[in-house]
Amino acid sequence: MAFHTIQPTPGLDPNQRRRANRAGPYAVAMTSTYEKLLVNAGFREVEARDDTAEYRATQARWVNATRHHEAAMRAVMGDAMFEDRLTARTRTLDAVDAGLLSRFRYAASR
Amino acid sequence: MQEVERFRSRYAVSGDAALLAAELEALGTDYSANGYTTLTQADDIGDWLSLDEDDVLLDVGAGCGWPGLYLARRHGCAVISLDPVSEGMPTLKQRALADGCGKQAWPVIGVAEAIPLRPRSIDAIVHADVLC
Repeated sequence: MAFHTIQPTPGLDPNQRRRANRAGPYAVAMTSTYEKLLVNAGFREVEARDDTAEYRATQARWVNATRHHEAAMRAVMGDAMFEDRLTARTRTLDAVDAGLLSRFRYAASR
Repeated sequence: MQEVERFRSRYAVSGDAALLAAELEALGTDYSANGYTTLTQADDIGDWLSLDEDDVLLDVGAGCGWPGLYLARRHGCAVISLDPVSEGMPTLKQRALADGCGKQAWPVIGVAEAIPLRPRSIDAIVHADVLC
């Protein structure tokens, strides 16, 4: 199995973690680690790779692309969906820059 | 449930030219994706999984098909695209046919907590930003 996931940056204090949970995707909050979850699920040879830099770059491209195509995107999505998505993207971008959110690639075998 | 409804609305507008143009600029892809797995990252995952034409890949939370459909085309494997939301499935099916993967791409409505597949019927699993 191989997957990417966004998570609170490892090592945050409780206040930072709360900020990360508020800024991140819907289910970003976690009480364990993905390494432990994978091992508990029977996977071995768990690899974790920090892909946050690329996530940051990708999110920045999304923000730029969203603004670049704003008129056409508003026409198809509607103002509410468009603004919701742009707000979410800029919020997570700020959180990544503040060191609160990370994105990791996990890979494991059984 | 609110999150599922959000994705229903999102997938209902998939395939629009402006959305695809934005996706191309952000991810380098045109699979009606709106996440963060780039083309390069999908290639990396496909290589790590060592996929080939004998494999069955499960893409959990597949949405409109990225990255599972792409990996099926690239590696020749079969792909089961699992998602609880059906609104992305027409786009997924259309793309599978366009890619020549119609016979090896199987969209399935279902949730990750209760995957409707037989045990040991899958060789590899991929998902992109599903757990968060």
